[in-house]
Formats: sequence, structure tokens, C-alpha cells
Amino acid sequence: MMRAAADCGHAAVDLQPPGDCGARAVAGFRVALGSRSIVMTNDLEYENVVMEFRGRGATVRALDTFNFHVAESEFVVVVGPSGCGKSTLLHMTAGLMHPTAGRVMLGGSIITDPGPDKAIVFQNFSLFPWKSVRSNIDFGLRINGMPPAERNELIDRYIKLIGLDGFENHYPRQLSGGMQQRVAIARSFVMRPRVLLMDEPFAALDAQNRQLMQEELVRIWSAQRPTVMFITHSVEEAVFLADRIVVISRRPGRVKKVLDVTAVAGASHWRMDPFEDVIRRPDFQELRAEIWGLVKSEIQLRS
Amino acid sequence: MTDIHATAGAPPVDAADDASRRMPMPSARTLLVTAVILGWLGLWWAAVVHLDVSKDFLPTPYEVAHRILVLAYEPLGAGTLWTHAAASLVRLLSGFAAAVAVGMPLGLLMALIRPVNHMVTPLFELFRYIPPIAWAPFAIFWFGAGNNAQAYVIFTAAFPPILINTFRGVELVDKRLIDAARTLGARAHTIIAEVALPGALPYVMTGLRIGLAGGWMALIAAEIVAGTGSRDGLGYLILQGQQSLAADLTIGAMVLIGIIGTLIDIVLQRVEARTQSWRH
Ligand SMILES: Nc1ncnc2c1ncn2[C@@H]1O[C@H](COP(=O)(O)OP(=O)(O)OP(=O)(O)O)[C@@H](O)[C@H]1O
Ligand SMILES: [Mg+2]
Repeated sequence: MMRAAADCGHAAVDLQPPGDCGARAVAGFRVALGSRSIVMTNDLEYENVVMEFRGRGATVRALDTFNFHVAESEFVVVVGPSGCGKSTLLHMTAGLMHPTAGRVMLGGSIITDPGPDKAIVFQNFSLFPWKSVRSNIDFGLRINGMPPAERNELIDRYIKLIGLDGFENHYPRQLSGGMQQRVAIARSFVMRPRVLLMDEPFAALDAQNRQLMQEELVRIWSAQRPTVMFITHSVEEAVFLADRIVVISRRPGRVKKVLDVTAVAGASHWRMDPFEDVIRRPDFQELRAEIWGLVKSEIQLRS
Repeated sequence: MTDIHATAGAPPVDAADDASRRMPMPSARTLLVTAVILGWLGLWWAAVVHLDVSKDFLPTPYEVAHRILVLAYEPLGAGTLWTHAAASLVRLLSGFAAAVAVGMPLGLLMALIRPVNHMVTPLFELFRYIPPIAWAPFAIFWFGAGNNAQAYVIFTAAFPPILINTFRGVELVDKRLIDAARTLGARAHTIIAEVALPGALPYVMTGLRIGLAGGWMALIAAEIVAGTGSRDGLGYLILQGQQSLAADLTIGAMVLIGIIGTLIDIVLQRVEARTQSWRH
């Protein structure tokens, strides 16, 4: 862990080398961005979204008339009590599930299928156990037809970034939970998606690695500007990273409150500053307390 | 949820496997196995000598070994020992290959496409309770007495476990991995080749091992019952031993069958271990 952390620290790799800016990793997406220059916006629209799961007998309503709009390149963090439908929301956005009622739209069109333009870091990592670290990260690039030389360079860069050099050929089972989580993150990041969906991506990391990965995420997000939906149970993490925070009520999940962090975080946003400095700020603490209060009331309402 | 109940499909882990992995030094294991085998042979020998058993009733291990050694260079029927063993193996492999060629794709399709499952399952359930040897007369009727009829009997033995285990394996693949592949842009063929099949591999390998073992056992029966056209194969040797009242030949052929079956399984275990290095 320490070694990995150290590597991660000096791996201040430039994510967007010159000439690489326009070329997205995903071939299909490059076509979409090509000469015809279709204007694509990457905003997310949730319109009266209802999600029900029909089990034996009982029907569970996970989300109830969920309405929300995420602007293009916005960084939205979702918080809420366990079981309130956060993962469900993300899976619907990824195109893996379809709402029982209402619509989820990306750039104005209804999301019908999953695809590499909507990358997701799963709560349980979902790495392919029979593929090495390297092949796991490579998978999405390879099946979308990126040339090997380009792929290898990109993967090398990301493996260094997540502090896993030397572990390229290990299988997921041979890695710690935190290391697996970093592989899952790299597997999504390399795709350079329009939307980046992250389901408690740093939950398995120790404090030090969590902080490093937060910094990397901010760096990647600043360079690529994907639209981000980020789920966390850490209120501090939410306040540090988010443009806006959505607090979801306990099941069935609805928008309880939306908090605009940018209004407080300053013009350059505090996520660009060192985390340990930011958490000492009184305005940070104030916002943190407010959100914690909102989440806590939802948890206590249960019982 | 599933139409097939995996009563015939063993779980993908088997005890012998685990034991071989846990034993660190192969030489220690080999020594132990050798000692145990020698012990049993000694017991057999002692029993025959002390109880003064007739040679026609039960020969000594020495007599059996001697008979087999002689057979290695002195032909009987269609040829020497090697001819017979090779004939049996060729039949086994052709029947087994057919079972793999039909069982694996069908199991895969059944797991992936529900209507296929609904259509095949009732027929298959009926099929798998018919003992392979019961097919022998019918196989002769269809293919004529000979290699094809025997291969068909082997097919009927090897096919069910291969199909069931492939089906179960694919069905039990973590759906979340399929989701992950889909979000990365994978289409059906990639998901099958890179997620469903590798995920199902532990089950598939178990199916192959059970299928091959079942096929090997069915083969001998097929050679005895359906082998009237040919004068080769290990089953033929057993039959010859019986007809000429040569107990040493019959037992020798039986021992050979056991040895070859074990060797086949060892080879498959090696293949299995090699394809699944990611599991440990
Ligand atoms: N595939 C499914 N089938 C049936 N019910 C489901 C399914 N997925 C989720 N649910 C139910 O929907 C509700 C919301 O689940 P979800 O996983 O979205 O919660 P969550 O907010 O992500 O919780 P956590 O913070 O614990 O991860 C839960 O009550 C859960 O039981
Ligand atoms: Mg969740």
C-alpha cells in the first residue's frame, strides 16, 4: 500500500498529451465527433423517473418521481441513506436498467443501451477475474478498435497513475480491495466517456489513497470534462468534490435537497486545493454539517 | 428459474483436485500412491496364494501383468495390445468430440436464449436417463456394427454432463460482469467469448472430465455389446478372455482400462489447472 501510494504521488502524468486532445479513446465516439461535427451535449435529464422492482409478491419502489438535471461537464455528487436507490439511479443512467416510468436522457436522447460513452465504476468493482490488471484496463479500448500501440501507451500511463506498476500481470484475486478498486477506476477512465458514473468508487481505499485518487479524479475531470455522477457515503468527499450535491430521501428515493457547492467553494473551486487545507475551512465545515444533518434525518426517519 | 436441475452435474470443485494442489511435493504424493498401490497388489497376491484360489477364478497380479506384457508383442485378434488400446481411444475421442461439438454450443444457447432452453429441456431430460448401453442395439441398427455405433454410444454417455455443466456454468456467470462488459461496449459475440465462456470454464471443465470418464466406461460396454463387427478394442480383449476362459486376460484388460482412464483424467486435470491459473 505504501509503495503504491508513493508511486501514485509522483505519477503526475499529463493525461492529455499534445495532439491527443480531440482524439477520444472510443472509435465510435470519434466518428460522432468527426467532420460532420454533430453538436453533442452531455447533459443528463431525469424526468419523473420511477423505478420499481417486482419480486415475489412484493414490489419495491426504489425511486419515485425523481426529477433532476445535470449540466454538461458538471460534477454532481449523490448522497443518501443506504437502499435509497443511488446505485439504481446510476445503473439506469448507464443504460443497464430502464425506468418503470419517466425518462433518463443524455444529450437530449433517451438512454436505451449501455455503451462506452457512459462509463461506470461499479460499487463491487466487477473486474473480470480471469483477466490480468492490464487486460482488464485494455478490454474496453481493444473491443472498440483502438490500435495496439496507442492502447499500450495509454494503459501504461494509467497503471502508473493508479500506482499499480509492477502489478500489470496480476489477476484481480491477487490484489487488495483498494487495488482492485483502482483498476476498476482506470478501466473506466481510459474510455474517456461523455458521462462518468461512479458508485462509491473510493470506499475501499485507505484515507491516503482515497485522497490521492480524489486528486487524480479532479485532474482527469478537469482535463476531459466528462459529466460526472458520483455516489458516496462520505459527506466530506461530497462537499470537497461536487459542483452540486443531491441529497436523496430514504426509499422510495426522491430529491430531498440540491445544494450548490460552487456558490461557496469559490471561483476556482476548493477541490483544486489540498484536501487537508480545505476541510479546515469554516464554510466547508458548515456545508458539511448541513448535508450531514439532512442525511442523518433520513436515516433516523427509518425504524 | 432454471429448467434443468443439476443433479447430474457435479459442482465444479472436486476433492481429488484440491488434494493434489495442497500437496506441495509431487514426489511425496507419488511415493504415497505407489506405496498404497503396492499394498493392495500385495494383499491381492497374498489372498490368492493363501486361499489357494484357482487360476481360472482369480489369477495372481504377476500372472495378469505377464499376460499383458506378452500381449504387448504377441497379437491377439486384430493385433497387439497397442492396436487394441488405440482402437478404443479412437472411438472414445470421436464420440467425445461429437459430444463436445453438440453439448457445449447447445448448453451455451440454452443458457443464453430462454426459448431454446424450453424446447430442448424436456427432450434432454428424457435422453439423459437412458443408459448409454441401452442405445447400443439402436446404434447398430442406425450405423451398423462398428466404430460409428460405438462412438454413438460414447456420445450418449458424454453428452449430458457436458451440456448440463456448460449450461449451469454460463447461467451462473456473474451478471454484473456481463453488465460491466456491456458498459465498455461489448457486443454479444465478445460477451460470449470473453465473459460467458471464461466464467463458465470451471463448470465446463468439470463437464468435460465427467463426460470423458463416462464415455470411457460406456465405450467398454459398447465394445462388448455393440462390437460384434470389430475384432479390436479393450472390450474385445475382455470378451476374448471370457470366451477362452482366460481370467488373466480379462482382468488384465480391466486393469488397463482403469489405468488409461486415470491417465486421461490426469491430462484433463493438467489442462484444467492451466486454463484456470487466475483462480488461485
Ligand atoms: N435488481 C434488483 N432487484 C430487486 N430489487 C432491487 C434491485 N436492485 C436494487 N433493488 C432494491 O432497490 C432499492 C435501492 O437499491 P440501491 O442498490 O439502488 O440502493 P443504494 O442507494 O445504492 O444503497 P447503498 O448505499 O447501500 O449502496 C433497495 O431496496 C434494493 O433492495
Ligand atoms: Mg449502492
